[in-house]
Amino acid sequence: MSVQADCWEGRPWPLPDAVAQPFFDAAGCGRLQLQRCVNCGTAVFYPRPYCTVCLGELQWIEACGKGCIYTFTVIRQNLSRAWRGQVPYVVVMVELPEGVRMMGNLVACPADEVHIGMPVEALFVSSSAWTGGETAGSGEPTSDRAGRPARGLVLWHPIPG
Amino acid sequence: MLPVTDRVPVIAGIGLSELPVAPHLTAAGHHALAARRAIEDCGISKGDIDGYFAAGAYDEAVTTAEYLGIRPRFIGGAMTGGTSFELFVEQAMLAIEAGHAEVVLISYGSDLLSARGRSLGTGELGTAGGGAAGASTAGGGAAGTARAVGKLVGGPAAFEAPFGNTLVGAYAMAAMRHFYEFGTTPEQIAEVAVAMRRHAALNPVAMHRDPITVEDVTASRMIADPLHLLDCCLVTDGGGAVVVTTSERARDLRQLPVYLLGAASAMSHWNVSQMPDFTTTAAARCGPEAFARAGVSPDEIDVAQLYDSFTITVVLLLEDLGFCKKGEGGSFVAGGRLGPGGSLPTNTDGGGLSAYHPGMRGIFLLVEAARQLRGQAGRAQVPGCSLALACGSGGWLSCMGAVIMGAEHP
Repeated sequence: MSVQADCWEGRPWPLPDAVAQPFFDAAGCGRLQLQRCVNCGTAVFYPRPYCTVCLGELQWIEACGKGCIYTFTVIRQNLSRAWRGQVPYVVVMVELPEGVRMMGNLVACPADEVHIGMPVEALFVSSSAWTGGETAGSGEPTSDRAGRPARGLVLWHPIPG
Repeated sequence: MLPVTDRVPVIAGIGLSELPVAPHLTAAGHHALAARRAIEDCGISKGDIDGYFAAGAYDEAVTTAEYLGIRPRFIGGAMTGGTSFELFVEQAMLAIEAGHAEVVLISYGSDLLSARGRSLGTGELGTAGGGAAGASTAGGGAAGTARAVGKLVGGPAAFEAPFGNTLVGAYAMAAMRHFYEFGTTPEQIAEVAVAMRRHAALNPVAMHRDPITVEDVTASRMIADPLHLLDCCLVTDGGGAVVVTTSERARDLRQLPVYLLGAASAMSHWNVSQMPDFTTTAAARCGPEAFARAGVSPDEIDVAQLYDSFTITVVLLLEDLGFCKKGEGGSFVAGGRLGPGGSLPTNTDGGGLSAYHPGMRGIFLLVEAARQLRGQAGRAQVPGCSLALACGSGGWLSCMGAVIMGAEHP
């Protein structure tokens, strides 16, 4: 899995808390990780402090990095400053064989070719603006023990078939 | 013979502020004007209000209670999105029945259009985790500091906001999955918008009253596939209020009481990426519960007020509440069934799609249901209306609240 460093800089960028930090650290190294409950085996995403079924202990596991599209939309209007220049773009819910779904963007695929059930593979991006030594700086929250900005972000692209 | 103390909860008073555009009113002004009108409507003394509920994207019950000069002994205001007011009714019913409150005011006010303009849930507030109904999600967890390189987002929003999903996009993904699983079509869901517009034509304060066709909806510009502009609710200003008290107390008041027969609520998720099944809402749980509590069935309902944030929302609610089977909502809404004169007149004020939607519509569902049950709906009156359902949807199809109301004492 490749790591790209071409993430456009206007994209809102994760500032994970301590619980979510390992996910983004892994993504920064080109690995897709999620949590599984030691007690009941439930796969959990987004990262939680304890299992969403039994409140048991969670451990990080390596996901295979592939999935298929559960549902999607093509955003054709977004008036926010960060996004207005990016339309149209595809937002997907990807179903992973490990048993969770993740929201993401589908890239490298024309909008009219996206379909539910389409097999996709994780694509890892980083932003030099956020990972290249720039720190969180002022104005960041102090009450939720925020970590450092994410090292990487998970997007998706079609698996060539 | 009624019991000596008849504590069956009723809606005794209803009020609307100025709709759909009121540049001279702040959100608190909408609260106050709607509350004044609801109090005048039933003729209760403001000083008798001892219970209070409110929620908003930018205000909360403690603030508005102080603005209004109300000192409640029973207060609530859990923010569950646009359906908050249906949940407040459920909680008010319990408080009234238990004697923890005698007169409960529920109010809502918003200057969304005048203060922020229309971005169709796609503006700064429309990013995932930060929709009008979820501003606290983004604000609470995120840095929120706009900088040259974008902004940092924390909490659950860190798993949605970086992908630019919008409020419309969340509902669009539900519609896309419904189309895929059940063969529902854009033309079918467009029927919802057409029916709401026909009701709006009968409401002098509705935002849009000119007739539209299915073709108008499907030819309107695409906002987030498969939802077109006319599949999306409006952004307006507005406020509303209801007064809930006991049946006994209502006997001395001005209006016919609207009996609260049964209410229930349920939540399945908050952020849309956590929705367990994108074609089934928590209304599938609270709908049957509300009907059971009221002792009635869906086919007995004369008029429905279903939160029409988007056309697909109404289709999902109709299925989940049991008006039709899962997957059959598309064909159910065809043929004008929801419109004036249809077998299930729905959103008889014109709904959020055509009348008013100041960000959270739940209060208007209650006011319009009460208007119908009192026989005061004017040209929009459904003849012989004796049983009404209001069902709200809050967040991103996240929280559902169903309230069944009747004109007759249970």
